[in-house]
Amino acid sequence: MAVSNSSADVDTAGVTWHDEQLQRVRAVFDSVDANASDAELRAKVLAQLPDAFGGSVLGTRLFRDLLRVEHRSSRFLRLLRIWSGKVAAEVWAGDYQAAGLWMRALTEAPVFPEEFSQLVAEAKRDLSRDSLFEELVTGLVAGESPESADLLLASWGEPLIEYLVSQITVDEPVVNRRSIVQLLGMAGRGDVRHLTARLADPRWFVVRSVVTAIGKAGRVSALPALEAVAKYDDDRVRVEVLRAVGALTPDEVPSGALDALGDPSSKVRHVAISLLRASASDSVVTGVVEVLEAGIGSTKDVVRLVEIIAERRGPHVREALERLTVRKLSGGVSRSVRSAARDALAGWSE
Amino acid sequence: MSELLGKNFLQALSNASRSVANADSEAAASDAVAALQGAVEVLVVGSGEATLSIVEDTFYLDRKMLAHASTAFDAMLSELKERKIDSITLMRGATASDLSDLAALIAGVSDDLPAGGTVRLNESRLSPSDLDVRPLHDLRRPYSFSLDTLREVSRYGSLHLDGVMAAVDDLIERGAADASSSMLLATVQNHHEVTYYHSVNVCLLSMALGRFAGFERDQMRILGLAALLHDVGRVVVDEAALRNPGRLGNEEWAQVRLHPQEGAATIMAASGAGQEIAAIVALEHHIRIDGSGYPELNGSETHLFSRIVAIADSYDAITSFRPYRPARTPNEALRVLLEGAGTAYDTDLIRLFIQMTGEYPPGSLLKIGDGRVVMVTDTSDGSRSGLVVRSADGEVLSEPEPIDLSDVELLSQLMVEEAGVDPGSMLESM
Repeated sequence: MAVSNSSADVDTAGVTWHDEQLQRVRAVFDSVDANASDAELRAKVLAQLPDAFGGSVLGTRLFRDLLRVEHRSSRFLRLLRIWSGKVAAEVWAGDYQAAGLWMRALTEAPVFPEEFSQLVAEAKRDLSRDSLFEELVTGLVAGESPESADLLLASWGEPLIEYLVSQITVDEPVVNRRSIVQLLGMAGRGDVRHLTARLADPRWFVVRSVVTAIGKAGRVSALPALEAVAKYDDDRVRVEVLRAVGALTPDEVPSGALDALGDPSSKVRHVAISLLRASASDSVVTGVVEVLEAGIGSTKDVVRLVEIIAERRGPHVREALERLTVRKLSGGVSRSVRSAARDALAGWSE
Repeated sequence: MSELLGKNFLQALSNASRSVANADSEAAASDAVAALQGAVEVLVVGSGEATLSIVEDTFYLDRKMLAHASTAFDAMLSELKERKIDSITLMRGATASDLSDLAALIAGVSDDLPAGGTVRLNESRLSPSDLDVRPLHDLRRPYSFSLDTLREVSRYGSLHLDGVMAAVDDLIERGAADASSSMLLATVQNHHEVTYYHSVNVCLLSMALGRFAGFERDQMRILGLAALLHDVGRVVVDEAALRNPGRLGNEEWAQVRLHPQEGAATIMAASGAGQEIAAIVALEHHIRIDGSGYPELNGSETHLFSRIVAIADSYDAITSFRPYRPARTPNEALRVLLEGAGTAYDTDLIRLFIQMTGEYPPGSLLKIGDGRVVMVTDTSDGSRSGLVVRSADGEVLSEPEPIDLSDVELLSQLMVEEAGVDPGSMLESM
């Protein structure tokens, strides 16, 4: 198609045609990546096609954009209703990973205007219905991979923890207590303070379950709170505290375990010895020797403690065993220690 | 009889009917009826009367099929069928009273038939053998179906994505990916349902570009869904602001700027395949490639589909009439797009779009060296073909003649009114 160049501006039948216009168009067009062939251009565009055309990752990204730009409270409330519907729908559908993404979209690193914080808190509370929690908990326990709900449980936090704790106290919980404690631990991963606050509960069995859950939550920031209940009256709680601390500090000498060797409860001491045995730390030998030298523990205990030393290897182990064979210790277990140390040394090799 | 005359009459009838239905002021209603009277007078010049008939979902003016007007006035077609009106015969000197009765009847606010004898209903029943019957283009029916899905959003305030996806599937099935047909059909407009028609046009143009880029069917479906719903937020924001006949004031403009987030939220409140992308496109389609535009997000790159829809959206908006400015030619629209390449629009996509359309997109009306007027019909594969729609002496051809435009001298580009031909009406002649 040829364009008439007879005049820059041609007036034909009352219509003005600007020839420069076309030249301008071409100039712009020619300046745009003129070297790319059609095939290259298409390939370049096709390469930008996303892998996924739907799903919660895209949906939640969009949702956070909406939260960011919405400044009208009535419309913000509508967004919260959408959010609530998405979380609930995913829970009912058993897609806990997607539900977790939706939960996190609202709760993590808030992007919405601060004045809507109260609305968000209310929406989260409204969503936290017992019926939905029951669906979640029973679905998770019946399913094969409760870890898919890691994000959801950790993001849900306090309301879910409150529900799970309530299930510990009822006669007929929706799932067994062991499962509840496991889910409590997952729920505490987002903010373990929601769990540690429950250590003040007056019921020993609640405290015991919470302590176990804290150990499963894996947050070392909970250690001070655990130490605060290390001397709890009920030895079943003290046992769980020891285990929880051990779980949180697997590479360290379980200091609580050394202290617990003097606990009046044989159950507590038994767990402490097991923890020391399981610990890979080289400092276990030094710690146990110190305990033995202090004369702490029953005859049966000291024999097992010496065995813990003898199970390890290295010059410091031989040195410790030799020292124990000759050392006169305070308390009534001195002979037992020396005897056990000699036996151990006889069978010990580098 | 030009299809444009029929279209003008239908537009005037639609205006008058809405004026009555909306209980506009007496003066406004009277003006609308006077305009209708004027349109009738133009229609009956020469023969003294004219008959608008409805046969098989299509308007006919006397014997001539009004294919494009049937799509443009899809809602009126339904309203007339609902009231069992098969034909409207208009006489020279049609009175304001009769025309006012007709408008009220169509609007559903009165059951009074025009009694003065200058407007007669169901008097002239035409059989198909009397008519210039041609099969409507396959795309027209799904186009109407798509309009209906959007009307339902407004009517019921809720969105059913499955229904919208079915409309998109239907469009794809009937050949929406064909660039030439899509661009011709996308010239259809309706002044009272601007958003719905614009949305379907953007859907057609986006899918044509997607196909041209090499998208697979599944990708086309999601793109089509997103494009069809890109302006769904306009349905829920203050429609009064959107219907403002003049330029928008600050407050109205602020309302308009909310439609992307309203649309995205509306889509997310529904459920169905592709809703995430559709919502993203609804939110992002006014964000420019340089990050400006609205709403203000975090500055990350917008989705590929948002960038495609932004181009189709602008192209259709520029080539469409708006109350505050006239429509511009397809070529002028390309110029605007090109000038925005790299700032407003994705440069690669603009290149592809122009490769798809050619310098003169299908539907362009061009005056050529010998004085004839041609409409560009096909620019694919480097070929440029068209139809001669007006002879050198100005006569509109009833049977447009094909023409190869490769070596034709171009004199000027014409607007629809200047050419006296509606490009969309030629879809059935291709």
